[in-house]
Amino acid sequence: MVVVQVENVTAGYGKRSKVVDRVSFNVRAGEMIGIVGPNGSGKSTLLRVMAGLHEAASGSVRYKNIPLSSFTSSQRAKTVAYLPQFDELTAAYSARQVVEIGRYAYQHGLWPAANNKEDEQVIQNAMQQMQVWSKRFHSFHALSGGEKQRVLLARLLAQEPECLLLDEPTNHLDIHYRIELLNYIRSWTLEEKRAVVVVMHDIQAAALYCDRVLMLSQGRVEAFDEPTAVFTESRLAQVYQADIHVSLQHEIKAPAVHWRPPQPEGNGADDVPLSWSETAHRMEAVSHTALNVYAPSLKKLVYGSVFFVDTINGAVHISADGELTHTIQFSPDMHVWRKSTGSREAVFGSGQSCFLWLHMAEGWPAQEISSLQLYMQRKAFEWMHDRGYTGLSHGALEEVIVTAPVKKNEAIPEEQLHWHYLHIGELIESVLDDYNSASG
Amino acid sequence: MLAAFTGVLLLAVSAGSVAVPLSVSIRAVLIQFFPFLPVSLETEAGAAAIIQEVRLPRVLLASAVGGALGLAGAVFQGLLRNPLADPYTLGVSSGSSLGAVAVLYFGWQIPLLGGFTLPVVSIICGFLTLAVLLLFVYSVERAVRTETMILAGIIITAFLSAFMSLLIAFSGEELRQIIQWLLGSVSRRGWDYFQLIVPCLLVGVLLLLPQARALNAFAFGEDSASSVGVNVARTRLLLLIGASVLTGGAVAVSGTIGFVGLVIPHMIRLLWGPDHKHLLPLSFIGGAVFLMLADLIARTAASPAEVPVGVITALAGAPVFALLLFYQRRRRWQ
Repeated sequence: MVVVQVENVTAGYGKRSKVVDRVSFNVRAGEMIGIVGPNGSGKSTLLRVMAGLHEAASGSVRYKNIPLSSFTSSQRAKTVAYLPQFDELTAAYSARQVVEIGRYAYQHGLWPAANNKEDEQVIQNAMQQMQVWSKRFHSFHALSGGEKQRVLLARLLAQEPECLLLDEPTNHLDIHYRIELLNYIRSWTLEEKRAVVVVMHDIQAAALYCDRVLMLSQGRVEAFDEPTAVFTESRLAQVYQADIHVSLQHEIKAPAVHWRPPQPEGNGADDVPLSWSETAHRMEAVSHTALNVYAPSLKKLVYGSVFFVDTINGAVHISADGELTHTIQFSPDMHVWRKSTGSREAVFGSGQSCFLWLHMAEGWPAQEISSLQLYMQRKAFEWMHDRGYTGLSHGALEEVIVTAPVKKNEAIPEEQLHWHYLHIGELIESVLDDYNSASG
Repeated sequence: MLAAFTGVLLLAVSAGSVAVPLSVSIRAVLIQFFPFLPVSLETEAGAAAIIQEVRLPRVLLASAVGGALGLAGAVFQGLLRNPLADPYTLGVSSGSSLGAVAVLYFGWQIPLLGGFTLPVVSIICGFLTLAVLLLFVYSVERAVRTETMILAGIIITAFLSAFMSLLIAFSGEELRQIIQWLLGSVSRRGWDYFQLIVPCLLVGVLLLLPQARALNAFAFGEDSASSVGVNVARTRLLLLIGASVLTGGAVAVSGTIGFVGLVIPHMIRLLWGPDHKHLLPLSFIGGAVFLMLADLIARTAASPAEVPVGVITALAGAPVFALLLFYQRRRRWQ
C-alpha cells in the first residue's frame, strides 16, 4: 500500500530558485526510503516540503491519497512526523515532557488540563519502544547524544503518524549510537508497517538500511531504486565527484561502499591500478573482454580477461598486448563453477558461466597481487552488472573469480594452473565434492 | 502561590506611612470586593478610607502590572526561544513610553480624557508600534523567523529611543516628571488606572494561558512546533498580540519597570521547571507578588519619601536571582 506519493514537486527559496526540481517518488507501508545526494542537492528541502513546512511551487504531496495541502495542522501532525536536522532545546525540559510535546495535536480544550489516560499510555509506549522510559525524569540536556535522538524519536512516535520524516537523525552520533538508532528505526518500520523517509549523508548506512534509495543531484532525481541498483561506481563518481568504490557484501543484500584515503608515499601508495580499458568481442560460444589495467606505481600494464562462457565445450583464447598468447581448452577438469540461485549446480557443458582471468607477472609482491585481484574482482562485477547479467548479482564474485598467476607471453601447462578461490574456498570445495561424487 | 499573593496583598495594604492593623485591612479589602458581606468598618473609617482609596488601588495596580510583566516575559522568552527576551524586547514598550513622554513634554490634554490622556495615548502608541513591527516583519518574509522579529524589535526600540532622547534633551521643567515616569512607579494612580489595565489584563491572560501547550511545542523551534500540529503563524500572532497588550497596558499605567518580566519567569522556571502549563500562571502570580513587595519596600524604606519602584525591583531582584541561579547550577554539578 502506498502511503506517500510525491508527484512532480518543484520547490525553492525565492521565485527563480529550484532547489527541488520535478521530484516524484512514492513510499509504501513498511518501507524505509533513504534520500541521498551531495550537499545542496535539495534533500532537506524536499523533506520540509513533505512535512508541510515549506510550500512547493508546483506538484503535490499526498498521504494515503489525500493532498497534504488539505490537512489542518493537527491532521497533518497525526499523519506525518518530522525530525529536523538541528533540533535544539532552549529550556530544561525532562525527557518525558519532550515526548509529551508530540501529543499536542491530540490534546483539546482551552485550559491545559492534566493529560488523559490515552495520552499517558501513548507516551509510555513510545518511550518504552525507544528504551528511554527509565530516563523519563532526566533533564533532556543531561542525556547522551544517542539518548537525545531516541527521546526525539519517541516524540515523533507519540504523534502516532503514518509516516516519519527524519533529516539526518544520526548526525553527530558515534558508530555505536548510529547503529543503535538505525536499528530502532528499522525495527519500528518493519513491526508497525509504517513508512519512513530518512535523509542520509552516510551512503553506506543508506545501502544497509533502506529498502529503496532516492538519489538527488542538483534537485533532480538521479535514481530511485534498490540500493544495489542505485549505488554504482559510475553514478557515485558522477554525482559526488569522488572516487568511490562499490563491492558486494557476502552476507547481506547491500553493496559495500568504500574509498581509499591518500597513503604515505612508498607504502604501496598507488598500487591500485587507476586506468581501465576494455575491448570486447564475441567468439564462438564465448564472449571475451580483455582488460588492460595500468598500475601507475608499477608503470606496467596488467592484462586480464573476463569471459562469459555460453558453453564450456570450447576454447578460450587469451590475448595480451593484443596478440594471441594462450589458448585454453575448457574441460570439466578445470573446475569452473557457477552456483545458481537457490541450489548448487555445476555448469560444465551447459548453462552460462563467467569468470575472470588474470595474467600477472611472476615475482610481484604478494600485497600487490592481492590488491590487484580485489580490483579485478570489482571490475569484473561491474562489467557483468552493467551488461545486465542479473543472475550474477550478490555473491556472483564468489563463483566467477578465478585467478591464476602466470608469466606473460608464456603458455602455461594446464597442470600448473593454480586456482585461487577467493572468499569462498570452502563453498567451492563442497560444490566440487558434490560434482565429483555425482560424476564419479 | 495564591496564598502568598493574598498574604502579600494584605501586608502591602497594611504597611505604609500610616500603619493600619491587619484586621482592619482584611475587612476593608473584603468590603471593597464583596460589599454584600456583613462586615462593618464604622469605627475605623479613616484607616479604611486610606486603604480603600489609596493603598488598595495602588497595591492592586502593582499586582496587575507585575503579573502582566511576568506573564508577558514568560511568553516572550518561550516564543522567541531566547532567555534574554523580556516584555520590552519587541519595542512595544518603547512605543508606549514615547507616547507617554510626548504627552508629558507637550503637556497634551485630550478633551474628555483629562488626566487620563497619558495612559490612553501610551497604550495607543504601543499598539501602533506593534502594528508597524508586524507589518515590517511580515513584509520582509512570509514565513517570519524569530530572529527577524528580535532584530526588528531592536531596530524599532533604537529608533523610538532616539526620539525619546530628543524630547528629553529639549525638555525643561518637564524633565523631572519625564524621568520620574520613565523610572516607573505605581504611586498616586487611583482606581482609574487600575480600571485601565484590567481590560488589557483580561485580554492578555485569556489569549495567553490556553497557549501553554503550544509554547511547550515551540521549545524545539518553529519547525518542530509546526510538525507536532501547532498552527505556527496563527499561534505566534496570538501570543505576540496577547503579550504586547499586557506590556502596553503595564507600561501605560506605570512606566517602564524593569527586571520583573526578565527575571520572574526565570525564577519560576528554576523552582518549578519549564513546563508552560505551570510557568505561565505562576509567572503571573509571581510577578504580581514580586512587584507588590517591591512597591511596599519602595514606599516604606525611605518613608515618607519614595524610592522609584524600578530601582527596588533591580536592587532586590538581582541578588535573589543570582542566589537561585547559584544554587541551581551548583546542584547540577554535584
